[in-house]
Amino acid sequence: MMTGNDAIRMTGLCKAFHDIPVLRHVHLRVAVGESIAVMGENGAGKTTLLRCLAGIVRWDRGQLWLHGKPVTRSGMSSRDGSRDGASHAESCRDIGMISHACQLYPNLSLCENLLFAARMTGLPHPRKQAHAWLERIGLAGQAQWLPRRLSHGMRRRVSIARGLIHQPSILFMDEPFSGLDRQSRQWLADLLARLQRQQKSICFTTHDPRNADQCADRVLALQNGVLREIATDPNSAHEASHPLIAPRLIA
Amino acid sequence: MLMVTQFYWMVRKDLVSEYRARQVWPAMLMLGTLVSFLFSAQLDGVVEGRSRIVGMLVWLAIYFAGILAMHRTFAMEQEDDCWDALRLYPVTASWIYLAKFTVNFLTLATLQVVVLGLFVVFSNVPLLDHPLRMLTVALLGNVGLTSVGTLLGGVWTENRQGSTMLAFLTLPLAAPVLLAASEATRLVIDQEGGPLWWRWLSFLVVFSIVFVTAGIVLFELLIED
Repeated sequence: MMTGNDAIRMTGLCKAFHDIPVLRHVHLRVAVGESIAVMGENGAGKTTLLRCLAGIVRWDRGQLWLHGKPVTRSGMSSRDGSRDGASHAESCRDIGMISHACQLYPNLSLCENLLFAARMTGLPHPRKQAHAWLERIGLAGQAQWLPRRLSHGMRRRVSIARGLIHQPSILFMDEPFSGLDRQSRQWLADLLARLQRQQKSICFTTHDPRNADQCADRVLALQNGVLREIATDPNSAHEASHPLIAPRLIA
Repeated sequence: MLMVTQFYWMVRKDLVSEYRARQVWPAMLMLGTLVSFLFSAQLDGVVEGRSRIVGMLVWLAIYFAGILAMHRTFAMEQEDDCWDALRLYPVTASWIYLAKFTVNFLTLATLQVVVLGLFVVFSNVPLLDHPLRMLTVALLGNVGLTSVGTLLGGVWTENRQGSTMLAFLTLPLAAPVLLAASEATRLVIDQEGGPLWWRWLSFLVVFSIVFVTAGIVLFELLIED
């Protein structure tokens, strides 16, 4: 049953690519203001899980609710179960997706990239919003630069601003910490903590147990297409043998 | 209202990106020029059936150079995974199709101006003696080719395939447009504006309506993962 406090609820979700199962009966529940980390080896299906949750990928079986609203299997215009443009727009505004790639148009400046996102989401005063976000990520001085002039860490910041500019209530982040230096990682951890305080629900994937521990309320492991929670109690004998737990304990 | 604004910004974004990168238009126009020149050179000494040959060569030149651009409009979305981000904005797939269609239409229109101009100069045929008729044929031929190219371009880009496959797959679907536009162009050159010309024109109108509608309706289903 769906509770009023659930931002995301997923039951029995299955997804296969060319008959190779990637996700097997995945159950997931994320409360409003909760942050969860999904860990797993390369190819475990973490990105597919996020893409299913965001409605980019059509899943084969299972059910998904976002803020209590059922989501149909075909993502795009019928994410909320209807083909009505207005409600589709509303459901898209609930979601922010930050991909492993930075998703910035290479021939548009940083400001233009953010402006495009603001205009596409129908924000009022898009220019003001774009400049405010550039200030917030510390790149106001580089507003007219093209993305290729920036380091990976800086591009990642712009990418995060692009995903957050419309203030979504649910945020999906695919390996947001990858390729960041210590300072940028800390900046991102602080940002995630701030977003959580604003009651945003966050679901991110990571390979690094330290990031998971630092930023998530719960840590889940995706292995062979099955998602299960890793106990936060490191003394649990069963969980200690889990291949994803061992590095966590060492860390 | 939001949809119209989104449509405008999507088209503007593609045009600004191309203006700055200059990746497609120079290559497309160069290929168009080269093909037009080579085709025109083959016409030396041809007297009988010249208008028929010119009609077909004009449209083949437009098709082969234009297909480059149609692939590119979607390929630029794949850079840095921007396609996923675009699909997550509150905009329906139909509007994305229409925006891409508009960009491709403008690109092909520019190419048509160049190719038609070159054929007039090199092949010495009265292509522009009836400018209004030629404009009508060019416009409808453009809409027909663009509707097919945009639809398949989206599908192929979604499936991470290259432009070679796009050229191969678009050709069977675009063949009726090429044939109809070639015949209509021949009739313009021969100054025959009778019922036959109208029949080819009607065919182009019907084809364009069918494929633009198919694009608007089916695009969402075709680009799904």
